[in-house]
Amino acid sequence: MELASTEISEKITGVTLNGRLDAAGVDRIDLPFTAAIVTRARNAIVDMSGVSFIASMGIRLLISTARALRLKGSTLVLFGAPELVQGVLDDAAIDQIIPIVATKEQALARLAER
Amino acid sequence: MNAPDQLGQLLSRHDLETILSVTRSLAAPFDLATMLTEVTTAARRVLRAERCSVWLLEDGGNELVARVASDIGAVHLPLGKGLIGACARDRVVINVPDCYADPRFDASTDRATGFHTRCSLTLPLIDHQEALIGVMQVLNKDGGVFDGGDEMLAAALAAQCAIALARVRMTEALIEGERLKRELELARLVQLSSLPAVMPLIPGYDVHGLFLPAEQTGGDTFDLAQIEQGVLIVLGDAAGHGIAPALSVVQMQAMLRMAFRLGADLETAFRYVNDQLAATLPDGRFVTAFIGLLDPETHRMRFLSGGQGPILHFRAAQGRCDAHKATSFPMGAMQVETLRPAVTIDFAPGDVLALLSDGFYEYADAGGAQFGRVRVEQLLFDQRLESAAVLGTRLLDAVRTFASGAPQQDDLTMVLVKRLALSRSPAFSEAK
Repeated sequence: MELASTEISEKITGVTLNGRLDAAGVDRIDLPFTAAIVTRARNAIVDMSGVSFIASMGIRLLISTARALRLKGSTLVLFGAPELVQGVLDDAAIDQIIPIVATKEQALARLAER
Repeated sequence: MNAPDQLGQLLSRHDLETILSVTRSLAAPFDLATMLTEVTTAARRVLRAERCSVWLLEDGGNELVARVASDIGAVHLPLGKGLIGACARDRVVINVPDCYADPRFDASTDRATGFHTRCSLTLPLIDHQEALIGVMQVLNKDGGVFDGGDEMLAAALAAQCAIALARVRMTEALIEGERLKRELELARLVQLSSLPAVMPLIPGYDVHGLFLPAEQTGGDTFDLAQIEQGVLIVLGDAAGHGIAPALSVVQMQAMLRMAFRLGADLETAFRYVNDQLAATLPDGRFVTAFIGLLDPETHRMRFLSGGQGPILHFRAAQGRCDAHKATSFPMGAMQVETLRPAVTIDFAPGDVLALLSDGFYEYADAGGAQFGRVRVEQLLFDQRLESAAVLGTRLLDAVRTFASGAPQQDDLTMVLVKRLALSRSPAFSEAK
């Protein structure tokens, strides 16, 4: 599991995830993911297109990060999840707590609405 | 003259008693700090040194950390830096009569503390498996510099120190292992206490529940009970391992039972439990839960699910599964603002509701492939004529066969609710 963080703009952090977001993957990126997103306390978009698999621990990481960000008045948006990952997120109704869209443009547009 | 004889001649009776006293102390059980203090005090006395410090190899062997030093605090040194780092890197005794004349000497500690290091004797601490575990250093010999006799004395103490250090660390690892083991046992007991003691007898239905905890138990539970509002069907899963998720899921279940006992309907109970969990669970904790109420007379079940999915409804007449998603996010993740409507399932004869925790779907073989939903659906079809208990056993067998010996990483929990088929149905006759 790999993570790359970029600054999309002054108000938006971009994070790209690559690999399997299972228990072992979460162990590897838990701290840097939280640090990249929550400590900056600003909106964030996460590129999920490189995530080949997501397990319950991965969902837990996304939710806890989104929740922490929400407490700081900011929003986390996921985009580009492959079909398998999207299916798992749909089954668990994660879209009700974290906006999930198809493209980066849609993710940025979702943030602009807020 | 051999080494022990030389050593014997070097030692005064008092020194010998001091070393023997240290050796006796090192054999007794104690914690790391006490043991290191004992060694450094003895080293200062026997070697007539002004100071003594012990540095332990940490961070995977990349740095040395001062563990006993009177006034330098928790200093970290990379391997190779200064006399201590050089001693660790080269695993040799370094006796320096004039430190400021030695290019390896790092004077930064002196500058920080105001101490003036004149001479030093630095020794590697090597355990009985020839592994470097740290460095011992004595500074400023009273009235002179350290000589060959001091090196032998210090080496004797260092050898004792290294052995005792290895023993203390092993003991600490065992204690930590025992603590974790006890916590897991407690978590398992907590989980088991939340399971129904007996399966309810529901006219026209065959039900089966299974809870098979992983070695590092997770946070699963299930419930099947006849309550005033109908037959309560619950499957819950708190992410993580150990006592915390076990307590979270038991808390969820207790609140749910209480809400129904107070007369709540499905929606009220769901919202109440979710919002209570959101207010009380620590950050990052939540529970996925399916909560259903079955009316066995109308054969209608209504459910809400917080993050628990897929929910499989095997429809016997059609020979296929409907897969339902969760109706809401995992319980406790946040307060419910707008509750989506409950889903209704009508049970026809032979239909099966299959609730399986993610431990089933995510059970991976050695190559990392997962058991997945398709295999579960196929098995529900293949075993459609079997009882709920047999179906449960076949599911378990199938996942184990698939795993080919790969270890169980998560709890395996299932609830199967099967409406009994009408006797001598066409499907039954055909199969016979």
